Amino acid sequence: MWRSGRDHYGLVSIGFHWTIALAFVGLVGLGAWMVGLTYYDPWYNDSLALHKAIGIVVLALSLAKFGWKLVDRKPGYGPEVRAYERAGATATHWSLGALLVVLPVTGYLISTSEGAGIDMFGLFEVPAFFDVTAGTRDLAIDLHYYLAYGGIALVGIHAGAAFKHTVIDKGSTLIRMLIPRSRSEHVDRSMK
Amino acid sequence: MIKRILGAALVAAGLSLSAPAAQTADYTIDAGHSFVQFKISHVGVSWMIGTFERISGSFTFDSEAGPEAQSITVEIDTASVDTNHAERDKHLRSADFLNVDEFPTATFVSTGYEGDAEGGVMTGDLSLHGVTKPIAIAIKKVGEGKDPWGGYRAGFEGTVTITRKDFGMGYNLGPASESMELFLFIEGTRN
Repeated sequence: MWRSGRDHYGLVSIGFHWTIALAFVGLVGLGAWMVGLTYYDPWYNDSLALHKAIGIVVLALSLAKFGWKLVDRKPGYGPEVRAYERAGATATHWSLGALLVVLPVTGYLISTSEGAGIDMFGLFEVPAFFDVTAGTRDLAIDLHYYLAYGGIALVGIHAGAAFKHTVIDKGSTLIRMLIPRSRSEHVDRSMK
Repeated sequence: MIKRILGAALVAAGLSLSAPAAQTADYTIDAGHSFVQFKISHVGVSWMIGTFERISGSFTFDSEAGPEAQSITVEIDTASVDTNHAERDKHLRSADFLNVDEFPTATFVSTGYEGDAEGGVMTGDLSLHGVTKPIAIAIKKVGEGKDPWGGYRAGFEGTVTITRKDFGMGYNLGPASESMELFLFIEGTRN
């Protein structure tokens, strides 16, 4: 139930996956919207404050997720995923995983580049840990922009592939990220 | 032949040695002791102060000569804008304002001066955000004299009010924030 099995994901992995997915897509949408706001928009300041705080949450969740992955069982690909598709899927997963760290880190570097911390919903503050040069800051600004929209393209590939393996290939790719139990008729030995 | 060349060289050397005795009126701006700041209203209730951290240039200050002999050139690295707020600085560097990728340098080149050695009005062309317009800066000498390290310095302050829209930066910040005051604190070391 909590842990993953041979052919399905556990509740912890499922929780991480969908929480991070929702937050990630939401953050890119929020970012795209907020940069177009005018100075007199009531959301001009709050949108950015929310974006920064949620971004830190995504970074923390992603690191926790990777930590959990180290100790959790690893379900292999289902038989519906062909060998060459597995290579593509693995590359996409690793890219998305790297993105979940690099994207929030670049955002953090931009916001803290002049020494100000990041206010977490008014509860506490994440301080500025690094001395960022103007060159690093400008690189972070560019990376944040291109990785955000590039990341959405990756999410599209990832979701499209899951849909394909589930609907066209009639596999359980998407289902096993939704229901935390074995799909096989037999008792999943890994659960014992 | 060789004697003549040597003789000419000796005369030239003698001239160049005696040159420092004649006072030059040319100064190089001391970036570490010069500041270009701006002050703009924040929604009509307070002021927002910004600084350009990297400036350079030179000026001629000759208290013996007339107003026409005085001049200054200042170059400002627009990407060095600093208002103590990372995201605002990012916005100021963007195409909404300074567009520093396209216009990395702002310059002021004086064209004329009216006044005396203590102060007056320096007119000149301000090139900012790809727009060049004449402005008139009210300036005042702060002081001049020997510094403790063997040099000679002179310092000036100047203020001018510009309208953002005139320089193609009309991004709406509200009616109180359409114009802004520029402050120049320029210190130079005599060459």
